[in-house]
Amino acid sequence: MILLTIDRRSLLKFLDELKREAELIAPVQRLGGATFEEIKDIEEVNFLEGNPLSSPKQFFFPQTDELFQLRMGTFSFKEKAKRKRRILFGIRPCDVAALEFSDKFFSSEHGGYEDIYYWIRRRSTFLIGINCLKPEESCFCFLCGSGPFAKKSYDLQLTPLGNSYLVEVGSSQGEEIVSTFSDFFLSATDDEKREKEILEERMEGEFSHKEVEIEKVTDRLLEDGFSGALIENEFWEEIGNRCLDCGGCNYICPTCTCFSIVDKADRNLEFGERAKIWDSCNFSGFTRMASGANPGANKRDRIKKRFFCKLLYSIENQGLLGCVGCGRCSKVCYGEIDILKVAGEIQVNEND
Amino acid sequence: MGVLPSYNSPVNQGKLCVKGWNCYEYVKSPLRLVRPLMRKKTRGSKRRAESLDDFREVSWRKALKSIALKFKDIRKKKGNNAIGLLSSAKCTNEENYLMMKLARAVLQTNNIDHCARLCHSSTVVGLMRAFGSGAMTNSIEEIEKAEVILVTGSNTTEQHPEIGSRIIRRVLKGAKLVLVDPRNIHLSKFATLHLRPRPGTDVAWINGFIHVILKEGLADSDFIDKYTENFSSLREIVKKYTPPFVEEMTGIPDKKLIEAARIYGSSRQAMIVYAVGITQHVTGTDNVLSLANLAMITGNIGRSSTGVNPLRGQNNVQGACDMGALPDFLTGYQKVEDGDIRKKFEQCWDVKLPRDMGLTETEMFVEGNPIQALYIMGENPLLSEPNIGRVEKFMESLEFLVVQDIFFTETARWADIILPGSSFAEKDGTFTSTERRIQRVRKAIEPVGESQADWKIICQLAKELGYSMEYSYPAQIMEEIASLTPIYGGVSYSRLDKNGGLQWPCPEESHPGTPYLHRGGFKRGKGLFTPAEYKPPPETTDEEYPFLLTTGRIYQHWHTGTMSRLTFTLQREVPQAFVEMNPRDGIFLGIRNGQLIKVISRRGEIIAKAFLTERVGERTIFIPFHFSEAAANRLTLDSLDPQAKIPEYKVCAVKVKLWGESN
Repeated sequence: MILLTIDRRSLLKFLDELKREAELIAPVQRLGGATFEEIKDIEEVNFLEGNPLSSPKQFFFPQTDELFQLRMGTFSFKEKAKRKRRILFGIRPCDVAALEFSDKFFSSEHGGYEDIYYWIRRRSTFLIGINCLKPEESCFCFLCGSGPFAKKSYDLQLTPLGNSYLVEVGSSQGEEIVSTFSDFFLSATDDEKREKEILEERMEGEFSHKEVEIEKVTDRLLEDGFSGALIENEFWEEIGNRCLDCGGCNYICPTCTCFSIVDKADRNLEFGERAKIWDSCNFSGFTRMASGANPGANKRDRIKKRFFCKLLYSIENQGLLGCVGCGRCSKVCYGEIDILKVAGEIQVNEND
Repeated sequence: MGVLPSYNSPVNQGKLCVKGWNCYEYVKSPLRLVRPLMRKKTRGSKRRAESLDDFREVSWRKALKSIALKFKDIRKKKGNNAIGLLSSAKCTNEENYLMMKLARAVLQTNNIDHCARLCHSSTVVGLMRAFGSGAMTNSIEEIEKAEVILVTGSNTTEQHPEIGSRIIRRVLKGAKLVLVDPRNIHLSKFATLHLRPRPGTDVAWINGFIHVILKEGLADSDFIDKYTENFSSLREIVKKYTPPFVEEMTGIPDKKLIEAARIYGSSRQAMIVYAVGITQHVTGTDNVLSLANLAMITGNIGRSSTGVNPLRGQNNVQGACDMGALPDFLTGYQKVEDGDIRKKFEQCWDVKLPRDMGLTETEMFVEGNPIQALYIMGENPLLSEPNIGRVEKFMESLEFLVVQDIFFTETARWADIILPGSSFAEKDGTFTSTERRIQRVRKAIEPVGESQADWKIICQLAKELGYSMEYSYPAQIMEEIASLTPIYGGVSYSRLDKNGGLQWPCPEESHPGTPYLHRGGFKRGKGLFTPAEYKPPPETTDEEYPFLLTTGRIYQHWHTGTMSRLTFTLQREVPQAFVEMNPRDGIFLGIRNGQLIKVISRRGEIIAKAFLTERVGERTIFIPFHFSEAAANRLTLDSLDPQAKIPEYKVCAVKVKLWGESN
C-alpha cells in the first residue's frame, strides 16, 4: 500500500488541477446546511463540517433520471455518450460503504441486470474519501462495520492529521493519479502512520456507548421470519403510528435503491419522456396491485418491511448489510423513528 | 432537479412532507403552459373550452395589449368596479402586492381578493375583532413546551405535517392532546381525549367548555379583569350550555365534555390549534370568536406556548392577506376606508385611490353583480368555489376572463386569454408562513418556455394600462412594501438572507421579529369577548337527503390538484376521488368497498368510489375536493358566513346510491 501525505494548501491545488479535466463534486456549506455539489470555485469546498444531509447517491442515481425521450415515432437515449470524468471528493466511509452496496444492487450479480444509467456514472467516478473525525449524535457506522475509517472501495482515502492529510491509495487509478501529480505529495513517515492508527482507535472509541450488536439484531429478525413469531405486532404498530408517510427515510438513505419508472407526455402525445424516479417502500402505492389488493396496505407492515430489508434481507440478497449507520433517516423523520433505537429494542427483546 | 430539506431552517429542521419531497416534479412537466394563449374566435356559443385546441398561441405583446384594451373598454363602458381581480396564495408577497397595486392604483377598484376568502376569512375577521390581529398568535416551535394542545377542525398530520408531527412528538413526551373532530383521524391515536361532535356544532361545544370552566372555577379572573372586556355578556350566554344540553346538540357525551374542558381549563400552557374545520361554516366567524373567548377566560394567550393558532393552508396565504389582496384592506391590515392610510399610499403611488370596499371572491361569482371581467392569477375557483354549478352559470355571462397560471386548469378553460406564469422554482421573492414568518424563495432555474415570473407579467400589464411599475428585482418591491407597511417595516432581503426568516410584526430594521402576539396586552387594547349562540347549519339532513356531507383534503394532494395530480408519486398514492362512508351505512345501502356510487345534493351530483371506513361516523360522508372529475364542490352549499363571506364547505345534505341503479 502506498502511503503519502499532502498539506491542506496543496490538497486544494491538487483538486483544482483535477477539476480542469473532470467534474468535481464536494461538500459545500449552504444556508440550509451542507450539501454535495458540483464545484465551480475551489474555495467553496468545505468538508470538515458535519456530514451533508444528502448523500452522494443523487450523483449516481438521481431523484429523477430521464432515460429517453420520444417524439412521434422516434426515440433517443440521453446517456449514450461517455460521461465526463468525475471526482467525488470528501465522502465519508459510511457513504463509501453505501456505494459498495448500490454497486451490488445495480449490478448483474444475484440474477439482476446491470443498470447502465448507474454504471456510466459510477465507472467514470474517482472517489477521494475522508476518514471521519466528526461522527454526529445519530451516527453508528462503527456498529455496521462501515466506519469511521474506510478499509476499502476508495481510490484515495484521506485522514486529517493536523495541517496535513495522510493519503492511502486504494486502486490502480489512484496510483496513476498520485504519480501524475506527485509534486503535491510526500511520503508518509512512520510517525504519521502511527498517528493515523491512534486516531482510528480513538474514533472507534467514540461509539463505545452505543451497545447495539447489529449481528444479533439480524439473527433475531431471521428467527422471527416476518411471521411475528418473536416480535409482537404491537411493537411495529407503535412505530408505524409515528410514521407520517413522507418517504424521507428512503429518499435520504444512501443505500435505498428502489425506483419507479414514469412516462410523461405532452397533451397531444407528440412528445414524451421516460424517467426513473426515487420510490419509497413506505408508500401504500409501492405494493398496491392493479386489482387494488395490497399486501402493504397497513402502515405497520410497511415499516416492518423496511427494517427487515435494511437489517436482514439486504444481507440475504446483496450479501451486505443494507444500513451503513449514517443516521440520516433519524434526522429527517417526523416521528423520531431512530433506526438504531429500533434495532436496539429488537435486540433487547431477544433477552426476554 | 430534485429536493432537499433545509437542515438549518428553524421550521423544517431537515424534515419534509411527501408533497415537499416530490414538489420538483411538476415544475418541468410537459403539460406546463409555455406561451400566451388567446381563445379562437371560432369558439361558437360554448364558453368553456374543450381543450387547448380552442386557443391559439400569441406573443406576449399581443396578449398584454389585448388585455389592456379590453380592460380600458370595460372601465369606460361599465365603470371601474366592473373588473375584479383574484390574487394568488401560491404567489410571492411581492407578486400579491403588485396585483393589489394593479387593482387599486391602476384599475381603480377595490375588487381584489384571493382564496383566503374560502379558507380563513373568518379567522381574519374573528381574531381581528377579538384581539386586534387576525393571524396565528404563537409560533410553531412553541408546541414543544405546551402542556395541553387542543386541536379542532384540523387533520394536522395530513394538512400541516410539519406541525402535526411536532404535536405527536410533544404528546409522546407527556403533553395532553384534546382532539375535537367529527372524523377519526391520525391524531386520534395520540389523543388523551377525542370528542366527535356532529359537523357544524362548534359554537355549542366551545360554549360548553366555557360553561364548565366557569362553573368549576378554572377561569383566570385576574386576566379577565385586567386584559379583557364584555365578559359579563359571555357569562350570560354560556349559562344554558350545560353539558347535557351540549350533548343534545353535538352528540358529545357530557362526561367527556367535562373532562376535556377540565384538561384545557386547568392548564396555563395550553395552545388551541385549528384549521378550516372551524372556519368553513356559515358560523365560521362565531366559531373563531368562541375559540378566542375560550383562550381569554383561561388567560391562555399573550404568552409562549399558548394562544389561538389558525393553521393557514397554502404556502403564502398568510402573505397574500398581509399584502392586502383583500377588498377591505391595504397591506398590513390597514383599512382602505381610512383616509389617512389611503393618503399614505396615494403619495407613494402617485395616484388617487378608490375608497369603498370591493367585492369578496365569493361575491364575484354571483349573477347580477357588476363584474364584467375577471383577472385570475394562480387560482382555480371552478373547482374550489362551493356549488360549482352556480359559478359556471356566472361564467357563461362573464364578458372577459384572463387567467394567469402554470397549467391549463379547469378555470383556464373559461379564459379568453391565458398568461403563462412561473412556479416557485423559477423566481425570487418571499413567502409568509402560517406563523407569520417571512422567508425567501430563490430562483433555481430559468422560467420554463416563454413563461415569466408573475411579478414581471403584472408590471408589463400595468405599463400597457398606462401606469409605470419599474422594478428590476423583487427586493425593490419589498423595500416599497416595508415603507408602507408597519408590520413589515424592518423586513429586507439582506436580513432575510441571513437567517431562517423574520416573524411579523417587525416594525424596524433593529427589531428581531415577534414569536408570539399580545404580550402584556392585546393589539386592540382590551381583548373583546364576543359571545355567540349556537345556530344549526343552513341545510340539515331529511328523509330525501339523509346523509351529511363534509368535504376536506387529503395528505397527498394539494388544493385543486393542479400540481399534485401531475406528480407521479402523489397521484399514485391516491389516484382518484373517494367517498368515505361508515361500513354500517354501506351494509344498510348494499354498497361494498370500492364500488362506484353516486352522491347527489340539491345542487349537483358526482360519481366516485365508496371507501368504507370507521373514519367517519354513521350518516356522515366525507369527500376530498381535489378531484375535478368528481368535484365535491358540485355538491356543496354556497351559503355564506354573513360577516366573513366564507362558504359552508363542511355541512350539507346529500343522498347516496349505487351508480347505475335506477332512479
